[in-house]
Amino acid sequence: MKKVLTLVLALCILLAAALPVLAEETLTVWYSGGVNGKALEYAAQLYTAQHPDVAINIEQVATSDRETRLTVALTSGDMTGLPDITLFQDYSAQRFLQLFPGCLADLSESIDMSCFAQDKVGYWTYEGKVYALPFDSAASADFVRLDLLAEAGYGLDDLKDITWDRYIEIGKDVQAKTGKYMLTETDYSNLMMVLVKSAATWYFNEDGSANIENNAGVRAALETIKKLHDSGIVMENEDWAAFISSMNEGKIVSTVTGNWILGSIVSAEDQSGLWGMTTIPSMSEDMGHYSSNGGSSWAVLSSSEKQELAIDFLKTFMTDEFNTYLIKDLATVPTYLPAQKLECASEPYAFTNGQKVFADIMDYTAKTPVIAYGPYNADVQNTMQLAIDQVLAGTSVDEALKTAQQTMDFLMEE
Amino acid sequence: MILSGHKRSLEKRTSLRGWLFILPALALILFTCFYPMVETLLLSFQKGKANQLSYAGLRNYARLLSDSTFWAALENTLFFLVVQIPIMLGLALMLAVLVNDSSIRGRGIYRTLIFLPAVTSLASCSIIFLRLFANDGYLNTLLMQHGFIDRAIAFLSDRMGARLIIVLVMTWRWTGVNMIYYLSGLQSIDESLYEAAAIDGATGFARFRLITIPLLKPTILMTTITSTTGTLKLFDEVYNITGGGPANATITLSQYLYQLCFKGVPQYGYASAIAYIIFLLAALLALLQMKAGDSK
Repeated sequence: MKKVLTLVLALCILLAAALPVLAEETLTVWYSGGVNGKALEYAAQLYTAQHPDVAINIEQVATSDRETRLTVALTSGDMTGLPDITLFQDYSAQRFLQLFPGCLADLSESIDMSCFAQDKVGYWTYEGKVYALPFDSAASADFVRLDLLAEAGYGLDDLKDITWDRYIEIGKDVQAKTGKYMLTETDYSNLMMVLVKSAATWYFNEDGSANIENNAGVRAALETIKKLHDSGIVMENEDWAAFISSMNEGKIVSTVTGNWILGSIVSAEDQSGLWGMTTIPSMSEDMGHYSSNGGSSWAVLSSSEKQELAIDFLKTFMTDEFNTYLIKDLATVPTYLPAQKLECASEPYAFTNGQKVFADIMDYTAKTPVIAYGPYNADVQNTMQLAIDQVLAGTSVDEALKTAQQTMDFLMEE
Repeated sequence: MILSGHKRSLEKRTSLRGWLFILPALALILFTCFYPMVETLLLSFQKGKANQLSYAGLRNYARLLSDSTFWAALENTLFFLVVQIPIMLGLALMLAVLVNDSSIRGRGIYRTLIFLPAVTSLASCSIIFLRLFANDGYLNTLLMQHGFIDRAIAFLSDRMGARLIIVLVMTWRWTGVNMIYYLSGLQSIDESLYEAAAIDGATGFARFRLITIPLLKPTILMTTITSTTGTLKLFDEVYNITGGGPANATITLSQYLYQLCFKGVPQYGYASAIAYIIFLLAALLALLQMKAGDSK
């Protein structure tokens, strides 16, 4: 009798545990952490409020792990354990689209891609179809501590539309007067990308071959990094955590990178009102002040059995409610163009001393040069890191560029 | 006749039973170790990106010759082999002799302390060393506070600095394990040999050189071979501390292989060729060491 009872009880528990799973559909989504995790949580909340029968299961997987796991799964053809939706770096788009054709679901039929910034849509276009929902703006900007700048006798306008040479001049002066580093960096890998793109070029020719040795933009970028390093105005942090804390702890005057950094800057609430934003310096008079670095988008995997549901969920990212939250609470600028008309996009923002940074970022986004990253983007970033290290250690720019060209030619050999 | 026939069948039965016992382990090794090795060998004869592969004969091996990153990685790996292993094994041997001395009080504590790094995770000890030597890390802060330097020393941006830090981490992490091997070797040496030598007037160093070293030879050989293969596979420390930098000064063969597979456009065939170079190097070095360790 006792045994039978135990069995019945066990069955009841099993059923109770299994029931909710049977009753609802679950979407699994991978994200990388930080702002995109919070955005995802909010989107899930919005969606499940309207669709109580759907559960959104979000999993944090670091960017490099995400790409490694996807690469391994796609190579082996074993798709178990993959999510329905995943966040992707825009940099990696063409690698996956070209090496594993058909690995992502085509979204161009179900989502109106004209609603998004066209440079973002471009990264995700392959043979005329678009394979991801563009997420955050990656337009680069110069975020500056206004109080420190004022202490040295400068204003935000003194940094607007200047050259890097002038930036270094001002930086030395500011550093002498305030004792703080003018710029914060890690290993210059991010800045390298900002600089190259600001010259409206990238590392590849139109036919896909590497274009490094004779690329004026790449050369200028390496030279600028060398000048910055030698000037002593740059705080060189070993890792990302140190980079973020250099800003949050007030050790630096400015940072030049993707505007998504604002999400980290605002976490130091005591610095509210002290920050301003302006365009990035240009490498020469004929090179630009607009660029972008980083940035990501959401893609639906073809291996998912719930593609339709997944795409329906992604449409949450195109609602006013979601985009308002993104801007107001996360200080993140969407590339969904109708968000420009939201009230919060053009309101004065207290953290940046009333400056309407979100509208400005949307303006920068529209002016960002449109270039193609190509499938070899991760390889070239790795190769250019070597070139940066070499140049900083005293190798000539010519020599470093030549080595980089050779390395890329070698890696791209058929 | 009958007896011997019975004996044979008994022998046969026991040997069959023996095989049955090792069959699961054998099957596991065949499936998880030898099967991938054969597949990797086949893969190393193929060229192409991701899974768009085609047969290319020995082309991948020929490609290695003109690959500057491969040569840099090989040079670094050999550097770690030549510099780190003698330091580590010498230190391990010295420590083993010290903590084996019965006149030292609390030697159990010392043994434990020296062994402890071996149980920490490679990733976390790498991160600790990274923080120690970071520009705003512990060492720089300490030196600046006491006025030895005005500006942080960028240990990790310096080629030799970065390499030496890797050597330091490896030594810190692995010396304890080797010390334990030597300790067990030392404990199998008969105490009376030392007593006899002492009576004959041999000094401490002479006893170490003429008794300890020769009798520990098999252990020394074993630790040399395991350390060599360990260094050839070196990955975690470099990946977490320097990422192979600055300017490939610390990139290892295993890290380059990983990069080729998972960081950019995957080149599995070429990476497999590098895996086989590591395998051949390990086999060759083990062979040389065994020849050198041969008592003849």
